Amino acid sequence: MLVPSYYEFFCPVKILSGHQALKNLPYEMDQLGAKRALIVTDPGVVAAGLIQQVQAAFEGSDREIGAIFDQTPPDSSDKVARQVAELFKSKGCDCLVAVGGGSSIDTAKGANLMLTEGTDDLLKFQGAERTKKTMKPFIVVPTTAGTGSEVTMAAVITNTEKNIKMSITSYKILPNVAILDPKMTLTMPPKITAATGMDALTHAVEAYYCLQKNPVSDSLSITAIKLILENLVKAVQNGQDENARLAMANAALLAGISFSNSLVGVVHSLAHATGGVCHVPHGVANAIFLPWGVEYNIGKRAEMIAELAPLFGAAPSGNAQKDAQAVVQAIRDLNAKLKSLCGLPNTLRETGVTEDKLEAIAKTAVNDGTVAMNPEDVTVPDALGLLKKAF
Amino acid sequence: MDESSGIKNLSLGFRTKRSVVRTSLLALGTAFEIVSKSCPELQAELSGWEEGRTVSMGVLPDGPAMAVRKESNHVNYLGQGEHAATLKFLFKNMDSAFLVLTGQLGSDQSFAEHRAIVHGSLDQAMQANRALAMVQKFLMPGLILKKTMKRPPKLRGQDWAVYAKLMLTLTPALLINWSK
Repeated sequence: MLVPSYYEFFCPVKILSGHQALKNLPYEMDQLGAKRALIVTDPGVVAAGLIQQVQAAFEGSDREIGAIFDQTPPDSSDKVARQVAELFKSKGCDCLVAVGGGSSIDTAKGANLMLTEGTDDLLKFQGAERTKKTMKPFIVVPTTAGTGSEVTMAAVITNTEKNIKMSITSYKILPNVAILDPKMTLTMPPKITAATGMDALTHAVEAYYCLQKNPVSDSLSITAIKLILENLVKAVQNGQDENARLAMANAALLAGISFSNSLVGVVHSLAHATGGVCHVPHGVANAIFLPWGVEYNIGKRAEMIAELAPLFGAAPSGNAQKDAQAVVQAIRDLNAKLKSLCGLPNTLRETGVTEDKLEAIAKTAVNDGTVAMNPEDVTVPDALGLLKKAF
Repeated sequence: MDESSGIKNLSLGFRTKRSVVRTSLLALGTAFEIVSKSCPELQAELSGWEEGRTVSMGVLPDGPAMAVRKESNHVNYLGQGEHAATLKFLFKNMDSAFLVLTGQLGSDQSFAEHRAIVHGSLDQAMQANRALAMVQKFLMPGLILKKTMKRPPKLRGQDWAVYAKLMLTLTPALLINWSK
Protein backbone atom coordinates (compact mmCIF):
# COMPACT_ATOMS: atom_id res chain seq x y z
CA MET A 1 0.00 0.00 0.00
CA LEU A 2 1.19 3.47 -0.83
CA VAL A 3 1.91 6.05 1.84
CA PRO A 4 2.26 9.34 -0.01
CA SER A 5 5.18 11.62 0.74
CA TYR A 6 2.63 14.19 1.87
CA TYR A 7 -1.13 14.34 2.34
CA GLU A 8 -3.82 16.24 4.21
CA PHE A 9 -7.12 14.93 5.56
CA PHE A 10 -10.06 16.75 7.11
CA CYS A 11 -13.54 15.77 8.25
CA PRO A 12 -15.05 17.44 11.32
CA VAL A 13 -18.65 16.32 10.66
CA LYS A 14 -20.44 14.65 13.58
CA ILE A 15 -22.14 11.50 12.31
CA LEU A 16 -25.39 10.08 13.67
CA SER A 17 -26.22 6.78 12.06
CA GLY A 18 -29.00 4.35 12.81
CA HIS A 19 -32.66 3.62 13.25
CA GLN A 20 -34.48 6.65 14.72
CA ALA A 21 -31.34 8.79 14.37
CA LEU A 22 -33.54 11.59 13.06
CA LYS A 23 -35.16 11.94 16.48
CA ASN A 24 -31.91 13.49 17.70
CA LEU A 25 -32.20 16.44 15.32
CA PRO A 26 -33.56 18.91 17.95
CA TYR A 27 -30.89 17.79 20.44
CA GLU A 28 -28.15 18.39 17.88
CA MET A 29 -29.59 21.85 17.17
CA ASP A 30 -29.42 22.53 20.90
CA GLN A 31 -25.79 21.42 20.97
CA LEU A 32 -25.06 23.88 18.19
CA GLY A 33 -26.83 26.68 20.06
CA ALA A 34 -29.63 26.85 17.48
CA LYS A 35 -33.34 27.25 18.16
CA ARG A 36 -35.10 27.78 14.85
CA ALA A 37 -34.37 25.71 11.76
CA LEU A 38 -34.89 26.47 8.10
CA ILE A 39 -35.52 23.18 6.30
CA VAL A 40 -34.11 23.12 2.75
CA THR A 41 -35.62 20.38 0.63
CA ASP A 42 -37.20 19.56 -2.74
CA PRO A 43 -40.68 18.70 -4.03
CA GLY A 44 -39.83 14.99 -4.36
CA VAL A 45 -38.88 14.71 -0.70
CA VAL A 46 -42.12 16.46 0.29
CA ALA A 47 -44.18 14.18 -1.97
CA ALA A 48 -42.55 11.13 -0.39
CA GLY A 49 -43.79 12.30 3.03
CA LEU A 50 -40.28 12.63 4.43
CA ILE A 51 -40.74 16.15 5.74
CA GLN A 52 -43.47 14.86 8.05
CA GLN A 53 -40.84 12.60 9.60
CA VAL A 54 -38.63 15.62 10.18
CA GLN A 55 -41.53 17.56 11.70
CA ALA A 56 -42.36 14.61 13.93
CA ALA A 57 -38.82 14.65 15.29
CA PHE A 58 -39.52 18.08 16.82
CA GLU A 59 -42.42 16.79 18.90
CA GLY A 60 -41.89 17.58 22.59
CA SER A 61 -38.84 19.70 21.84
CA ASP A 62 -38.25 23.37 22.57
CA ARG A 63 -36.51 23.71 19.18
CA GLU A 64 -38.69 24.57 16.21
CA ILE A 65 -38.94 24.71 12.43
CA GLY A 66 -38.99 28.36 11.38
CA ALA A 67 -39.74 27.70 7.71
CA ILE A 68 -39.56 25.04 5.01
CA PHE A 69 -38.07 25.83 1.60
CA ASP A 70 -39.29 22.98 -0.61
CA GLN A 71 -38.56 24.27 -4.11
CA THR A 72 -34.96 23.16 -4.63
CA PRO A 73 -34.57 22.17 -8.31
CA PRO A 74 -32.47 19.17 -9.48
CA ASP A 75 -29.51 21.52 -10.13
CA SER A 76 -28.89 24.08 -7.41
CA SER A 77 -28.33 27.68 -8.47
CA ASP A 78 -27.26 30.95 -6.88
CA LYS A 79 -30.81 32.23 -7.48
CA VAL A 80 -32.29 29.46 -5.35
CA ALA A 81 -29.57 29.83 -2.70
CA ARG A 82 -30.44 33.54 -2.55
CA GLN A 83 -34.13 32.69 -1.96
CA VAL A 84 -33.14 30.33 0.82
CA ALA A 85 -30.92 32.98 2.44
CA GLU A 86 -33.72 35.55 2.27
CA LEU A 87 -36.23 33.15 3.79
CA PHE A 88 -33.73 32.33 6.54
CA LYS A 89 -33.45 36.00 7.45
CA SER A 90 -37.14 36.90 7.10
CA LYS A 91 -38.25 33.99 9.30
CA GLY A 92 -35.64 34.64 11.99
CA CYS A 93 -33.96 31.25 11.59
CA ASP A 94 -30.57 30.47 13.10
CA CYS A 95 -29.83 27.03 11.64
CA LEU A 96 -30.00 25.30 8.25
CA VAL A 97 -31.23 21.73 7.92
CA ALA A 98 -30.89 20.24 4.43
CA VAL A 99 -33.17 17.26 3.83
CA GLY A 100 -32.58 15.69 0.43
CA GLY A 101 -29.94 14.76 -2.10
CA GLY A 102 -26.95 16.64 -3.45
CA SER A 103 -28.93 19.55 -4.82
CA SER A 104 -30.66 20.47 -1.55
CA ILE A 105 -27.42 20.05 0.36
CA ASP A 106 -25.41 22.18 -2.09
CA THR A 107 -28.15 24.83 -2.09
CA ALA A 108 -27.96 24.99 1.70
CA LYS A 109 -24.15 25.23 1.52
CA GLY A 110 -24.46 28.15 -0.91
CA ALA A 111 -27.11 29.88 1.20
CA ASN A 112 -24.99 29.43 4.32
CA LEU A 113 -22.03 31.03 2.58
CA MET A 114 -24.20 33.97 1.51
CA LEU A 115 -25.60 34.42 5.02
CA THR A 116 -22.21 34.17 6.70
CA GLU A 117 -20.37 36.41 4.27
CA GLY A 118 -23.27 38.88 3.99
CA THR A 119 -23.34 38.68 0.20
CA ASP A 120 -25.57 37.37 -2.56
CA ASP A 121 -22.69 36.88 -5.00
CA LEU A 122 -21.05 33.46 -4.86
CA LEU A 123 -18.83 34.06 -7.89
CA LYS A 124 -16.04 35.47 -5.75
CA PHE A 125 -15.91 32.23 -3.75
CA GLN A 126 -15.09 30.04 -6.76
CA GLY A 127 -12.01 27.93 -6.21
CA ALA A 128 -10.53 26.72 -2.95
CA GLU A 129 -10.51 28.06 0.59
CA ARG A 130 -11.85 31.55 -0.09
CA THR A 131 -13.78 32.01 3.12
CA LYS A 132 -12.35 31.99 6.61
CA LYS A 133 -15.57 32.67 8.52
CA THR A 134 -17.41 30.14 10.66
CA MET A 135 -20.74 29.31 9.06
CA LYS A 136 -24.23 29.15 10.60
CA PRO A 137 -25.13 25.84 12.26
CA PHE A 138 -25.79 23.33 9.48
CA ILE A 139 -27.28 19.84 9.73
CA VAL A 140 -27.82 17.45 6.83
CA VAL A 141 -30.29 14.59 6.54
CA PRO A 142 -29.58 12.75 3.26
CA THR A 143 -32.51 11.08 1.50
CA THR A 144 -30.33 9.36 -1.10
CA ALA A 145 -27.30 7.16 -0.57
CA GLY A 146 -24.78 8.27 -3.14
CA THR A 147 -23.54 11.84 -3.35
CA GLY A 148 -21.87 11.94 0.06
CA SER A 149 -22.52 15.70 0.04
CA GLU A 150 -23.25 15.52 3.76
CA VAL A 151 -19.51 15.12 4.35
CA THR A 152 -17.89 16.86 1.38
CA MET A 153 -16.25 20.26 1.40
CA ALA A 154 -17.45 21.15 -2.09
CA ALA A 155 -20.57 22.68 -3.57
CA VAL A 156 -21.45 22.98 -7.24
CA ILE A 157 -23.89 25.82 -7.86
CA THR A 158 -25.01 27.27 -11.18
CA ASN A 159 -24.52 30.97 -11.72
CA THR A 160 -27.75 31.83 -13.52
CA GLU A 161 -26.51 35.15 -14.87
CA LYS A 162 -23.34 33.80 -16.52
CA ASN A 163 -24.75 30.28 -17.05
CA ILE A 164 -21.70 28.60 -15.56
CA LYS A 165 -21.32 25.99 -12.84
CA MET A 166 -19.37 27.43 -9.93
CA SER A 167 -17.25 25.00 -7.99
CA ILE A 168 -16.72 26.15 -4.42
CA THR A 169 -14.39 24.22 -2.13
CA SER A 170 -13.89 25.19 1.49
CA TYR A 171 -13.32 23.46 4.80
CA LYS A 172 -15.80 25.95 6.25
CA ILE A 173 -18.86 24.85 4.26
CA LEU A 174 -18.89 21.33 5.68
CA PRO A 175 -22.00 20.57 7.71
CA ASN A 176 -21.72 20.29 11.50
CA VAL A 177 -23.84 17.14 11.68
CA ALA A 178 -24.90 14.40 9.25
CA ILE A 179 -27.90 12.29 10.26
CA LEU A 180 -28.23 8.91 8.52
CA ASP A 181 -31.63 7.41 9.25
CA PRO A 182 -32.65 4.48 7.04
CA LYS A 183 -36.29 5.64 7.14
CA MET A 184 -35.27 8.62 5.06
CA THR A 185 -34.11 6.49 2.11
CA LEU A 186 -36.82 3.79 2.15
CA THR A 187 -38.92 5.53 -0.50
CA MET A 188 -36.13 5.79 -3.07
CA PRO A 189 -37.21 3.93 -6.25
CA PRO A 190 -35.00 0.97 -7.35
CA LYS A 191 -33.46 2.75 -10.34
CA ILE A 192 -32.44 5.77 -8.27
CA THR A 193 -31.19 3.46 -5.53
CA ALA A 194 -29.01 1.72 -8.14
CA ALA A 195 -27.73 4.94 -9.73
CA THR A 196 -26.90 6.64 -6.42
CA GLY A 197 -25.30 3.45 -5.14
CA MET A 198 -23.07 3.31 -8.23
CA ASP A 199 -22.25 6.98 -7.63
CA ALA A 200 -20.99 6.02 -4.16
CA LEU A 201 -19.05 3.06 -5.60
CA THR A 202 -17.43 5.41 -8.11
CA HIS A 203 -16.39 7.78 -5.32
CA ALA A 204 -14.85 4.94 -3.34
CA VAL A 205 -13.04 3.31 -6.28
CA GLU A 206 -11.71 6.49 -7.87
CA ALA A 207 -10.59 7.83 -4.49
CA TYR A 208 -8.61 4.61 -4.05
CA TYR A 209 -6.36 5.12 -7.08
CA CYS A 210 -6.38 8.86 -7.86
CA LEU A 211 -3.50 11.22 -7.11
CA GLN A 212 -4.57 12.35 -3.65
CA LYS A 213 -5.06 8.85 -2.24
CA ASN A 214 -3.79 8.37 1.30
CA PRO A 215 -4.03 5.72 4.06
CA VAL A 216 -7.06 7.35 5.72
CA SER A 217 -9.09 7.69 2.53
CA ASP A 218 -8.00 4.18 1.47
CA SER A 219 -9.46 2.62 4.61
CA LEU A 220 -12.71 4.49 4.11
CA SER A 221 -12.88 3.49 0.44
CA ILE A 222 -12.33 -0.18 1.25
CA THR A 223 -15.13 -0.24 3.82
CA ALA A 224 -17.43 1.67 1.50
CA ILE A 225 -16.78 -0.77 -1.37
CA LYS A 226 -17.47 -3.75 0.91
CA LEU A 227 -20.74 -2.26 2.14
CA ILE A 228 -21.88 -1.39 -1.38
CA LEU A 229 -21.10 -4.81 -2.82
CA GLU A 230 -22.91 -6.50 0.07
CA ASN A 231 -25.96 -4.25 0.13
CA LEU A 232 -26.66 -2.39 -3.11
CA VAL A 233 -28.39 -5.28 -4.86
CA LYS A 234 -30.38 -6.02 -1.67
CA ALA A 235 -31.54 -2.40 -1.44
CA VAL A 236 -32.54 -2.41 -5.11
CA GLN A 237 -34.41 -5.70 -4.77
CA ASN A 238 -36.16 -4.76 -1.55
CA GLY A 239 -36.36 -1.03 -0.86
CA GLN A 240 -37.95 -1.68 2.53
CA ASP A 241 -34.84 -3.50 3.81
CA GLU A 242 -33.84 -1.00 6.49
CA ASN A 243 -30.54 -2.73 7.22
CA ALA A 244 -29.48 -2.60 3.57
CA ARG A 245 -30.59 1.05 3.41
CA LEU A 246 -28.58 1.92 6.52
CA ALA A 247 -25.54 0.11 5.15
CA MET A 248 -25.83 1.99 1.86
CA ALA A 249 -26.20 5.33 3.69
CA ASN A 250 -23.02 4.54 5.59
CA ALA A 251 -21.24 3.46 2.43
CA ALA A 252 -22.15 6.70 0.68
CA LEU A 253 -20.96 8.70 3.67
CA LEU A 254 -17.64 6.85 3.93
CA ALA A 255 -17.06 7.16 0.19
CA GLY A 256 -17.97 10.85 0.51
CA ILE A 257 -15.36 11.48 3.21
CA SER A 258 -12.85 9.52 1.17
CA PHE A 259 -13.31 11.35 -2.12
CA SER A 260 -13.69 14.74 -0.44
CA ASN A 261 -10.08 14.28 0.63
CA SER A 262 -8.71 12.16 -2.23
CA LEU A 263 -10.79 13.53 -5.04
CA VAL A 264 -11.84 11.61 -8.12
CA GLY A 265 -10.72 11.27 -11.72
CA VAL A 266 -11.74 10.74 -15.31
CA VAL A 267 -14.99 8.88 -14.53
CA HIS A 268 -16.25 12.02 -12.85
CA SER A 269 -14.84 14.32 -15.56
CA LEU A 270 -16.89 12.42 -18.13
CA ALA A 271 -19.97 12.16 -15.90
CA HIS A 272 -19.95 15.90 -15.09
CA ALA A 273 -19.57 16.73 -18.78
CA THR A 274 -22.28 14.27 -19.87
CA GLY A 275 -24.58 15.75 -17.25
CA GLY A 276 -23.80 19.27 -18.41
CA VAL A 277 -24.19 18.61 -22.15
CA CYS A 278 -26.92 15.93 -22.21
CA HIS A 279 -28.48 16.08 -18.70
CA VAL A 280 -27.74 12.44 -17.93
CA PRO A 281 -28.16 11.93 -14.15
CA HIS A 282 -24.81 11.91 -12.38
CA GLY A 283 -25.14 8.44 -10.83
CA VAL A 284 -26.22 6.88 -14.13
CA ALA A 285 -23.29 8.46 -15.95
CA ASN A 286 -20.84 7.33 -13.27
CA ALA A 287 -22.15 3.77 -13.48
CA ILE A 288 -21.63 3.74 -17.26
CA PHE A 289 -18.13 5.27 -17.17
CA LEU A 290 -16.72 3.50 -14.10
CA PRO A 291 -15.48 0.30 -15.80
CA TRP A 292 -14.01 2.28 -18.71
CA GLY A 293 -12.35 4.80 -16.38
CA VAL A 294 -10.81 2.11 -14.19
CA GLU A 295 -9.57 0.24 -17.26
CA TYR A 296 -8.10 3.47 -18.68
CA ASN A 297 -5.94 3.86 -15.56
CA ILE A 298 -4.64 0.30 -15.34
CA GLY A 299 -1.46 1.31 -17.15
CA LYS A 300 -0.53 3.69 -14.31
CA ARG A 301 -2.32 2.12 -11.33
CA ALA A 302 -2.55 -1.63 -11.96
CA GLU A 303 -1.28 -2.62 -8.50
CA MET A 304 -3.62 -0.29 -6.63
CA ILE A 305 -6.65 -1.38 -8.63
CA ALA A 306 -5.60 -5.01 -8.21
CA GLU A 307 -5.69 -4.54 -4.42
CA LEU A 308 -9.45 -4.14 -4.78
CA ALA A 309 -9.90 -7.48 -6.57
CA PRO A 310 -10.67 -9.57 -3.45
CA LEU A 311 -13.38 -7.07 -2.45
CA PHE A 312 -15.00 -7.66 -5.83
CA GLY A 313 -14.86 -11.41 -5.32
CA ALA A 314 -11.88 -12.12 -7.55
CA ALA A 315 -9.16 -14.37 -6.14
CA PRO A 316 -5.76 -12.67 -6.40
CA SER A 317 -3.71 -14.25 -9.18
CA GLY A 318 -0.43 -12.52 -8.38
CA ASN A 319 -0.61 -10.71 -11.70
CA ALA A 320 -1.61 -7.07 -11.08
CA GLN A 321 -2.79 -6.44 -14.64
CA LYS A 322 -4.99 -9.52 -14.57
CA ASP A 323 -6.41 -8.71 -11.12
CA ALA A 324 -7.10 -5.10 -12.10
CA GLN A 325 -8.92 -6.35 -15.19
CA ALA A 326 -10.96 -8.64 -12.92
CA VAL A 327 -12.11 -5.55 -11.00
CA VAL A 328 -13.23 -3.97 -14.27
CA GLN A 329 -15.15 -7.12 -15.19
CA ALA A 330 -16.78 -7.29 -11.75
CA ILE A 331 -18.02 -3.70 -12.14
CA ARG A 332 -19.42 -4.58 -15.58
CA ASP A 333 -21.16 -7.61 -14.06
CA LEU A 334 -22.66 -5.45 -11.31
CA ASN A 335 -23.90 -2.93 -13.89
CA ALA A 336 -25.48 -5.76 -15.89
CA LYS A 337 -27.16 -7.13 -12.76
CA LEU A 338 -28.58 -3.70 -11.91
CA LYS A 339 -29.79 -3.30 -15.47
CA SER A 340 -31.68 -6.57 -15.25
CA LEU A 341 -33.14 -5.65 -11.84
CA CYS A 342 -34.25 -2.08 -12.44
CA GLY A 343 -33.27 -0.94 -15.94
CA LEU A 344 -30.13 1.01 -14.98
CA PRO A 345 -28.60 2.03 -18.34
CA ASN A 346 -25.26 0.41 -19.13
CA THR A 347 -24.40 2.50 -22.20
CA LEU A 348 -24.69 6.15 -23.18
CA ARG A 349 -26.96 5.21 -26.07
CA GLU A 350 -29.48 3.78 -23.58
CA THR A 351 -29.64 7.17 -21.80
CA GLY A 352 -30.65 8.95 -25.00
CA VAL A 353 -27.26 10.53 -25.71
CA THR A 354 -26.65 10.80 -29.46
CA GLU A 355 -23.27 10.20 -31.08
CA ASP A 356 -23.03 13.77 -32.40
CA LYS A 357 -22.81 15.04 -28.79
CA LEU A 358 -19.70 13.03 -27.90
CA GLU A 359 -17.20 15.61 -29.10
CA ALA A 360 -18.86 18.39 -27.10
CA ILE A 361 -18.82 16.14 -24.03
CA ALA A 362 -15.11 15.35 -24.55
CA LYS A 363 -14.20 19.04 -24.86
CA THR A 364 -16.13 19.84 -21.69
CA ALA A 365 -14.66 16.89 -19.80
CA VAL A 366 -11.02 17.98 -20.19
CA ASN A 367 -11.85 21.27 -18.46
CA ASP A 368 -13.24 19.51 -15.41
CA GLY A 369 -11.00 19.89 -12.36
CA THR A 370 -11.12 16.15 -11.66
CA VAL A 371 -8.97 15.51 -14.77
CA ALA A 372 -6.00 16.90 -12.85
CA MET A 373 -6.39 14.22 -10.16
CA ASN A 374 -6.60 11.32 -12.62
CA PRO A 375 -3.39 9.26 -12.71
CA GLU A 376 -3.35 9.00 -16.52
CA ASP A 377 -3.38 12.14 -18.66
CA VAL A 378 -6.68 12.91 -20.37
CA THR A 379 -6.77 14.85 -23.65
CA VAL A 380 -9.78 15.52 -25.89
CA PRO A 381 -8.95 12.48 -28.12
CA ASP A 382 -8.56 10.32 -24.99
CA ALA A 383 -11.91 11.46 -23.61
CA LEU A 384 -13.55 10.93 -26.99
CA GLY A 385 -12.13 7.41 -27.15
CA LEU A 386 -13.63 6.59 -23.75
CA LEU A 387 -16.98 8.11 -24.72
CA LYS A 388 -17.11 6.03 -27.90
CA LYS A 389 -16.43 2.88 -25.89
CA ALA A 390 -19.16 3.79 -23.41
CA PHE A 391 -21.59 4.69 -26.18
CA MET B 1 13.47 34.00 20.16
CA ASP B 2 11.67 37.15 19.21
CA GLU B 3 8.19 36.31 17.87
CA SER B 4 8.78 38.28 14.72
CA SER B 5 12.24 36.92 14.08
CA GLY B 6 10.82 34.21 11.85
CA ILE B 7 9.63 36.90 9.50
CA LYS B 8 12.33 39.53 9.85
CA ASN B 9 15.46 37.41 10.05
CA LEU B 10 15.10 35.33 6.93
CA SER B 11 17.60 32.52 6.61
CA LEU B 12 20.00 32.33 3.70
CA GLY B 13 18.20 29.17 2.56
CA PHE B 14 14.84 30.92 2.48
CA ARG B 15 16.23 33.94 0.67
CA THR B 16 17.89 31.70 -1.89
CA LYS B 17 14.66 29.83 -2.51
CA ARG B 18 12.77 33.10 -2.79
CA SER B 19 15.24 34.36 -5.39
CA VAL B 20 14.97 31.13 -7.37
CA VAL B 21 11.17 31.27 -7.23
CA ARG B 22 11.11 34.92 -8.30
CA THR B 23 13.44 34.24 -11.22
CA SER B 24 11.53 31.11 -12.23
CA LEU B 25 8.24 33.01 -12.24
CA LEU B 26 9.83 35.72 -14.36
CA ALA B 27 11.16 33.09 -16.78
CA LEU B 28 7.81 31.29 -16.91
CA GLY B 29 5.83 34.48 -17.58
CA THR B 30 8.30 35.69 -20.18
CA ALA B 31 8.45 32.31 -21.93
CA PHE B 32 4.64 32.12 -21.87
CA GLU B 33 4.48 35.38 -23.84
CA ILE B 34 7.15 34.32 -26.35
CA VAL B 35 5.74 30.84 -26.96
CA SER B 36 2.17 32.14 -27.20
CA LYS B 37 3.21 34.35 -30.12
CA SER B 38 4.64 31.50 -32.19
CA CYS B 39 3.19 28.14 -31.11
CA PRO B 40 0.01 27.15 -33.01
CA GLU B 41 -0.88 24.53 -30.41
CA LEU B 42 -0.79 27.11 -27.60
CA GLN B 43 -2.64 29.64 -29.73
CA ALA B 44 -5.40 27.10 -30.31
CA GLU B 45 -5.67 26.64 -26.54
CA LEU B 46 -5.70 30.40 -25.96
CA SER B 47 -8.44 30.90 -28.54
CA GLY B 48 -10.86 29.63 -25.89
CA TRP B 49 -9.83 32.37 -23.44
CA GLU B 50 -11.84 35.57 -23.35
CA GLU B 51 -9.98 38.80 -24.13
CA GLY B 52 -8.36 40.32 -21.05
CA ARG B 53 -8.32 37.13 -18.96
CA THR B 54 -5.57 37.63 -16.44
CA VAL B 55 -3.84 34.69 -14.79
CA SER B 56 -1.45 35.14 -11.91
CA MET B 57 0.82 32.77 -10.04
CA GLY B 58 2.32 33.58 -6.68
CA VAL B 59 3.37 32.51 -3.23
CA LEU B 60 1.31 33.12 -0.08
CA PRO B 61 1.20 35.23 2.00
CA ASP B 62 3.14 37.92 0.18
CA GLY B 63 5.87 36.16 -1.76
CA PRO B 64 6.93 36.56 -5.39
CA ALA B 65 4.17 36.64 -7.99
CA MET B 66 3.69 37.27 -11.68
CA ALA B 67 0.77 37.68 -14.06
CA VAL B 68 -0.03 37.33 -17.76
CA ARG B 69 -3.01 38.68 -19.69
CA LYS B 70 -4.66 37.36 -22.85
CA GLU B 71 -4.55 39.95 -25.62
CA SER B 72 -5.39 39.13 -29.26
CA ASN B 73 -4.30 35.53 -29.73
CA HIS B 74 -1.42 35.51 -27.29
CA VAL B 75 -0.60 36.46 -23.71
CA ASN B 76 1.39 39.43 -22.49
CA TYR B 77 3.59 39.24 -19.44
CA LEU B 78 2.36 41.92 -17.04
CA GLY B 79 5.20 41.82 -14.57
CA GLN B 80 5.96 40.76 -11.03
CA GLY B 81 3.95 41.40 -7.89
CA GLU B 82 0.20 41.62 -7.26
CA HIS B 83 -2.19 42.04 -10.19
CA ALA B 84 -5.98 42.00 -10.33
CA ALA B 85 -6.43 38.54 -11.82
CA THR B 86 -9.35 36.50 -13.11
CA LEU B 87 -7.61 33.36 -11.96
CA LYS B 88 -4.92 32.89 -9.33
CA PHE B 89 -2.60 29.94 -8.73
CA LEU B 90 -1.33 30.29 -5.18
CA PHE B 91 1.39 28.26 -3.50
CA LYS B 92 0.85 27.96 0.25
CA ASN B 93 4.53 28.52 1.04
CA MET B 94 7.93 29.17 -0.53
CA ASP B 95 9.08 25.55 -0.33
CA SER B 96 6.08 24.31 -2.30
CA ALA B 97 6.65 26.93 -4.99
CA PHE B 98 10.33 26.00 -5.08
CA LEU B 99 9.54 22.30 -5.56
CA VAL B 100 7.20 22.97 -8.48
CA LEU B 101 9.12 25.74 -10.22
CA THR B 102 12.41 23.83 -10.10
CA GLY B 103 10.80 20.77 -11.65
CA GLN B 104 10.92 18.54 -8.59
CA LEU B 105 7.12 18.24 -8.37
CA GLY B 106 4.46 18.29 -11.09
CA SER B 107 1.72 20.84 -11.03
CA ASP B 108 -1.10 18.25 -10.76
CA GLN B 109 0.71 16.54 -7.90
CA SER B 110 1.19 19.88 -6.13
CA PHE B 111 -2.59 20.40 -6.16
CA ALA B 112 -3.10 16.79 -5.07
CA GLU B 113 -0.83 17.44 -2.10
CA HIS B 114 -2.63 20.69 -1.25
CA ARG B 115 0.59 22.63 -1.79
CA ALA B 116 -1.19 25.00 -4.14
CA ILE B 117 -4.76 26.26 -4.46
CA VAL B 118 -6.82 27.97 -7.12
CA HIS B 119 -8.83 31.15 -6.65
CA GLY B 120 -11.32 31.37 -9.50
CA SER B 121 -13.01 29.07 -11.99
CA LEU B 122 -11.74 25.48 -12.05
CA ASP B 123 -12.58 25.27 -15.78
CA GLN B 124 -10.28 28.21 -16.40
CA ALA B 125 -7.67 26.67 -14.11
CA MET B 126 -7.64 23.52 -16.24
CA GLN B 127 -7.26 25.60 -19.40
CA ALA B 128 -4.39 27.59 -17.86
CA ASN B 129 -2.76 24.40 -16.60
CA ARG B 130 -2.77 22.95 -20.12
CA ALA B 131 -1.35 26.18 -21.54
CA LEU B 132 1.41 26.26 -18.93
CA ALA B 133 2.26 22.62 -19.71
CA MET B 134 2.71 23.61 -23.37
CA VAL B 135 5.13 26.35 -22.31
CA GLN B 136 7.04 23.99 -20.05
CA LYS B 137 7.52 21.65 -22.99
CA PHE B 138 9.90 24.25 -24.47
CA LEU B 139 11.35 25.47 -21.20
CA MET B 140 12.13 22.33 -19.23
CA PRO B 141 14.56 19.50 -20.08
CA GLY B 142 13.06 16.15 -21.04
CA LEU B 143 14.25 14.50 -17.83
CA ILE B 144 12.25 16.95 -15.73
CA LEU B 145 9.18 16.66 -17.95
CA LYS B 146 9.35 12.90 -17.56
CA LYS B 147 9.26 13.32 -13.79
CA THR B 148 6.60 16.01 -13.54
CA MET B 149 4.12 15.25 -16.31
CA LYS B 150 1.73 12.32 -16.66
CA ARG B 151 2.49 12.03 -20.36
CA PRO B 152 5.77 13.86 -21.08
CA PRO B 153 5.55 15.85 -24.32
CA LYS B 154 8.23 15.70 -27.03
CA LEU B 155 9.26 18.40 -29.47
CA ARG B 156 8.06 17.54 -32.99
CA GLY B 157 8.05 19.22 -36.40
CA GLN B 158 7.41 22.95 -36.13
CA ASP B 159 7.96 22.80 -32.34
CA TRP B 160 11.66 23.12 -33.12
CA ALA B 161 11.14 26.53 -34.73
CA VAL B 162 9.25 27.67 -31.62
CA TYR B 163 12.03 26.27 -29.46
CA ALA B 164 14.72 28.05 -31.48
CA LYS B 165 12.87 31.35 -31.23
CA LEU B 166 12.47 30.93 -27.48
CA MET B 167 16.16 30.18 -26.99
CA LEU B 168 17.17 33.18 -29.08
CA THR B 169 14.84 35.68 -27.47
CA LEU B 170 14.42 34.52 -23.89
CA THR B 171 17.56 36.08 -22.40
CA PRO B 172 17.03 39.59 -23.88
CA ALA B 173 13.34 39.40 -22.94
CA LEU B 174 14.25 38.44 -19.38
CA LEU B 175 16.54 41.46 -19.15
CA ILE B 176 13.74 43.72 -20.38
CA ASN B 177 11.16 42.14 -18.07
CA TRP B 178 13.45 42.10 -15.03
CA SER B 179 12.34 45.55 -13.94
CA LYS B 180 8.63 45.01 -14.70
